[in-house]
Amino acid sequence: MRFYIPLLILLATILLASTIPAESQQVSSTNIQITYDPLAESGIVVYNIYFEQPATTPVNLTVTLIPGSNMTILNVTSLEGVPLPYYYDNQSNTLSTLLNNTSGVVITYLAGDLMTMLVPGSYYMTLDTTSIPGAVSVDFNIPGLYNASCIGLKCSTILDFSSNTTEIHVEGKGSLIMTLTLYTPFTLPVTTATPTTSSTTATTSLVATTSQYTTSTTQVPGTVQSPGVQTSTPPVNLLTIIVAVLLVGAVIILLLVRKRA
Amino acid sequence: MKAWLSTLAALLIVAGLVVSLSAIPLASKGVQDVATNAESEEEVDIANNTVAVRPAFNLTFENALKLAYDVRNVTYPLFQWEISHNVTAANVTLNLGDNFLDKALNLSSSNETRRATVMAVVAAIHYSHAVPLAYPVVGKTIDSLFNANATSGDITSAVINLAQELKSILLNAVSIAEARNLTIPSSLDNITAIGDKLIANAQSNLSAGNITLAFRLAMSGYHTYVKAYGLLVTSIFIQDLQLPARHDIGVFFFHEKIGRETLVKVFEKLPEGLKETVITKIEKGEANETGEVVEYVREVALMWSIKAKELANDYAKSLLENLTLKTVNESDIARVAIFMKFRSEGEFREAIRQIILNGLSQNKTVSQILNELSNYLGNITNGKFDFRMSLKDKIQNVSIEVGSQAEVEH
Repeated sequence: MRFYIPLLILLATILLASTIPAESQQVSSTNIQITYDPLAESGIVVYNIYFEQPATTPVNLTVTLIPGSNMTILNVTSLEGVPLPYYYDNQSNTLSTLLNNTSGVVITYLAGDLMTMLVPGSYYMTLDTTSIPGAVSVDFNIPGLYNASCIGLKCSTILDFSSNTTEIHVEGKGSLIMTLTLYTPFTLPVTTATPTTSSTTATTSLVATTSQYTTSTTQVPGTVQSPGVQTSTPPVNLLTIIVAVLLVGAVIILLLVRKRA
Repeated sequence: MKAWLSTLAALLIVAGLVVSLSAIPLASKGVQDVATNAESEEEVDIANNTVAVRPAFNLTFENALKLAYDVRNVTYPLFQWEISHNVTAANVTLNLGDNFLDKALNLSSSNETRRATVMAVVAAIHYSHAVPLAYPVVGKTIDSLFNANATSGDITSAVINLAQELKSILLNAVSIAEARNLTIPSSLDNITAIGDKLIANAQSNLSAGNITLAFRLAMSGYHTYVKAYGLLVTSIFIQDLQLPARHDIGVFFFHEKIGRETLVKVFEKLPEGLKETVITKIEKGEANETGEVVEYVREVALMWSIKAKELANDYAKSLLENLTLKTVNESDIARVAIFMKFRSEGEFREAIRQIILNGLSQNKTVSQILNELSNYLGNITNGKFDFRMSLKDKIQNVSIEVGSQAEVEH
């Protein structure tokens, strides 16, 4: 019996080895570039997937895409730029492609509504990179200036004031809640607004502050006036004066003429 | 003398008439100028002049002012909570809102009502930003506990406590909104209930020692309460301004003022090949907004798809053909069956190629084509050769899963 045990182990090892591909393909890193405009609610997503070594046996790659609306796959190519056959299943939001002899894949697609509006001028997005194999990084390129807040994974944000763009870099595995809010210079000195009694007071003072505001509301009794009328008033008034002066002058002269007559 | 005076009077009358006649087009030109400038008059730039707030609908000053007060009152307890957690941005944002409201009131008292109206809307927008500022509260708390070497359990417990505090502020905000005769969105209760469930699960998992899961649930619960607050605040905009839909609310307010340089900087990150064509389009001035660039890329996608499909099919054909021949050659049963059925290997290769080409021309997936090849090879070997089984070791499966929450509407 003892004689059979090593033989069984050897047999099991051979059987196990035969089921493992000779060369197991590993993803070394995945970078997702998200070029997105929260106000326009549209953008372009690019997945760059790199293998540890060029795939020498065919690989059936299945990728979950970050979901959005109106999704259009632009192209799926190898890193060398060769277009690859792909199948996109919009139910499961997965794209599968078969590839060989390549060191990676590039997937490019268009998507709307990648971010959700929280309140006007503020948008959020959630991402979970836990199940992405290899090293993971996500880069956001956003037209306009936004204050970014990231919970979970750390973000490094660059606000480029010369080109008015916001760049956010996220690295690592985990979940992320990212919020973008239209830029406010939080570091500038603050001027306290006159209507506020105190911004650090408790709920009771809120009532006081509110009533002060409400009082101000009553000071606006139907004064709605078109700015067109307002701004065009000065030239009309000046002309009226000129015309009036000329006509009055003419009337005086006519009266003088009559008197003399 | 009399004739001279009469002539002078007549001249003055004529001059008066000429001036008054010329004044008509002048006055109307003034109105026209203002009409042209009305847009800029009604715009207020924010975000370092990259966005103009320009309500694209008829709005009275009274409505805009009511909106500013309503949003301020509903977000004020949240601002106070954030300030108490040292979120300085909350203080700045509240003050900014107050500054704009102050300007709105001053402008309205000097009869610049239309600009005052926009100022009031801008104030309301700033007040509404109390909602996203709830995230730094939890962020700062986690960071400070982490730096103080607190345990994961302590951090999770702190997130649960913050979520509960946030919920009570939210309920207070709901009461404030009700007191101001605002209608509470019907889905708010459901969202809050989801938050409650997540927090209850976080607590039970924390007690059971499943800290990682408890932390994730606690964060999700917190996020859900923030979303609920966002829903409440956004509903005020919809009610006070009588807007038709929540989803496109930004369209009614914001006009992007980004230039060519911005678009070039953003889209130069696209892959080679696509980048060049997009940048050229932007530099020619044929795509001046993100939406236009994206639509152009959609057109490019259509143009490329025909050529790309041809190349991809060539790639797939060669890959599948080689894969099939390699797999068949490794099986004695298959080799013998093929030797019996075909006169040459070339004839067999041609039969395989036809199945692949037919599949590709019918837009079948790689998996479907492999199934057809499997059926064909099964038939010619009288079911003795299982192609799919033999392929198992020859195709590796690699999966990349990205978790994301797409929420177009609450």
